[in-house]
Amino acid sequence: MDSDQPSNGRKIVMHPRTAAARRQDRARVFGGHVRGYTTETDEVLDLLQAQRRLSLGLLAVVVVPVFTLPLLFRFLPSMADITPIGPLPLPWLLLGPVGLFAIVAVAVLHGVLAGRIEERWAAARHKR
Amino acid sequence: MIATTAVLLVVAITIILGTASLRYARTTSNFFVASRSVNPVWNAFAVCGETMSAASYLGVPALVLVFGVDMLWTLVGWTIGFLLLSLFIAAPVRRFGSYTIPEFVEGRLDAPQLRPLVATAVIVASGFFLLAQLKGAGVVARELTGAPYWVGVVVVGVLVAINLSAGGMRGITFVQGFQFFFIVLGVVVPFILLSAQWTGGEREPLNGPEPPVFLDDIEVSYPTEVDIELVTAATVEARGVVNGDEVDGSLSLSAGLHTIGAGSTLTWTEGTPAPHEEGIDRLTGEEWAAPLGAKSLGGGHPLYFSYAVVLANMFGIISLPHIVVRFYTNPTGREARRTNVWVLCLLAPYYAMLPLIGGSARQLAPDVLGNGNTDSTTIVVGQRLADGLRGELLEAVVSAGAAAAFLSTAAGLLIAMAGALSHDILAAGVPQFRLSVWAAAAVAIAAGLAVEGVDINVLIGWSTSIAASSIGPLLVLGIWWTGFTRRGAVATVVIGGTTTTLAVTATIVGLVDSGWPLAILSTPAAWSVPLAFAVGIVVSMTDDEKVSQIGHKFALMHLPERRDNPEAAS
Repeated sequence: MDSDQPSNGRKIVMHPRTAAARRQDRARVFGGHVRGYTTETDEVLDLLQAQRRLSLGLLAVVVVPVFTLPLLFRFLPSMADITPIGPLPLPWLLLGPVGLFAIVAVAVLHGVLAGRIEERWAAARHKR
Repeated sequence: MIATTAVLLVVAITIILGTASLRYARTTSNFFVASRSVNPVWNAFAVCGETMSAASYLGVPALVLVFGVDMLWTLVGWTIGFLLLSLFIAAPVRRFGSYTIPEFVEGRLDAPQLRPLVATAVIVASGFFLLAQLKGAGVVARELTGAPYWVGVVVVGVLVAINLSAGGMRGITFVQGFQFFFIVLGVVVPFILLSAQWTGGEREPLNGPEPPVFLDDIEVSYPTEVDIELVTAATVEARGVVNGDEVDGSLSLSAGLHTIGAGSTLTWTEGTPAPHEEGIDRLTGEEWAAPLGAKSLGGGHPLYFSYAVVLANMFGIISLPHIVVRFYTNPTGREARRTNVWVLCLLAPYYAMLPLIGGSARQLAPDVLGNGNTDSTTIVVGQRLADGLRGELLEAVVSAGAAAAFLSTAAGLLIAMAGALSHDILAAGVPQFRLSVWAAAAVAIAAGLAVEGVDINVLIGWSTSIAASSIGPLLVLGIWWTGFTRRGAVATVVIGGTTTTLAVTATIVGLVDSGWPLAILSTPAAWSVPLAFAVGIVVSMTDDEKVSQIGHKFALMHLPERRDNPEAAS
């Protein structure tokens, strides 16, 4: 850990974000509590499982079509001649702009859903 | 001239911003994780600056030029890799709160023995990657100024070491954010000009029935000795050494193989089929534009190659220490996740633009296929996009982008190596960190001088495969599976790391040269990543010695920061 306050009587002034970040680091070392929550294994595992289900689900959404593509290219070589939008043939579109932006969309979705799972979990803890 | 000035500008900004942060950089936390106080969007700029390396900026256009659409799998793999960072790594790894990956592994698995092992994997993987950046710097410096290869290598290595030893992670975060803008400019400007040329009908389609030909008379310089293959006889103006004979003047070359000496210059006439370097397939436009068209890929198994490349690159991204380490600089796990979403939004457009540069090189720079210098594709396309002052400005923009790309990535790699060396192997603080920076830089420069003849993408492929089959599975299993044990982790790193290293070594020494053996050994990730996961899972399940306090450890990784709690603001 850092030594924030020097011993020579001077005081350190810092940006609120820095201060928060340091508190965050320190808060975790108190036994039995993490970030103000107790750490009963069952409840931690509930959260873990919910997040894992979300992550694996979204991974499948991306990986299944992506891993099908090489087989499609292999068995439907005529795909290379299709130009649905503009001059780019379908494979260039799928492995280029279309595919890449679809992956970004999944990441954005994950950010929203993972945050929601955390909020719901935290809210459930507060009720008790 | 303008180009050199632009590169010097990037270098000057790097030095000024880097050393300016010397005032602020004192504590260990400053040096390793920028005091965990980096704004999420700025951190995203820094991550992008670090990710946009010689591999993407120079490597991808070169690969697309040579092999065509199949190389876009690299970009798809990287993008999925960043998605994996969001899904599996960014937030938990930040919340656990360590300074380096080896420290995280030790903490999660109660395994001090593992720390030096993982640190070694970090140093090896980052080291190969750093070599690729230094090689890129040498090539670009030579392309721009005609300076010998070693100049770029030494300058970039020393610059980055100065910066890091001055300001550590804090200084470099600031610098990388700025470098990001130069890199983006270096791709966006040529992209816009090229798009205008293609949509304005100035250029022929690329999927024609012939391999590339020279569209104009063209003077080609050959910086290193290279064997080229001619399909038709040709008469050239030659200056230098051809097939061992000194020449200066007109020369008739028959169809077949010819050896062009280092430093020679040949002027080819319009309409000559572009000679290819021996070993580079001569693809027609149709083959080049169609998936699985480059038949030699993966030792003649392009389908296997497609899968192997996606797997290697997606697991490579989550395993490359210099990228994972950047998430340690965010204040909270939530912000780490936000950073990564920003990273994807910034990277995807950049990745989508790169193929156009490589594709355009089929017409603008087909000479690159035959002068043993495919790594210069991006720069050469920039040089030839326009004439006169506009052309010089364009060259300047592209070169500045390249310089920024090596500098930012090299800095990130060196920080990962120095961090592992000083924090995990020596278990020491800031003074040793500074020493480690210089030691790692010195070794990298020496090795960088030795890899002049090795393709950048080969170097990147090795380091990515080694990292992907050791560090990646370790992180994913450690973060998401409570049953992962110390023995399981050791087995993962040892089996994943050694099998990949052996496969890579076998390829280098030329133990196999064709067919399935070459496919399997030259692109090992397709089997080594699943193998590393399987070994880790099986060994952990048979291990009786479970990790203690597992609830507490998983709470550290996965519990959200409280928004209502003043103890955990922002």
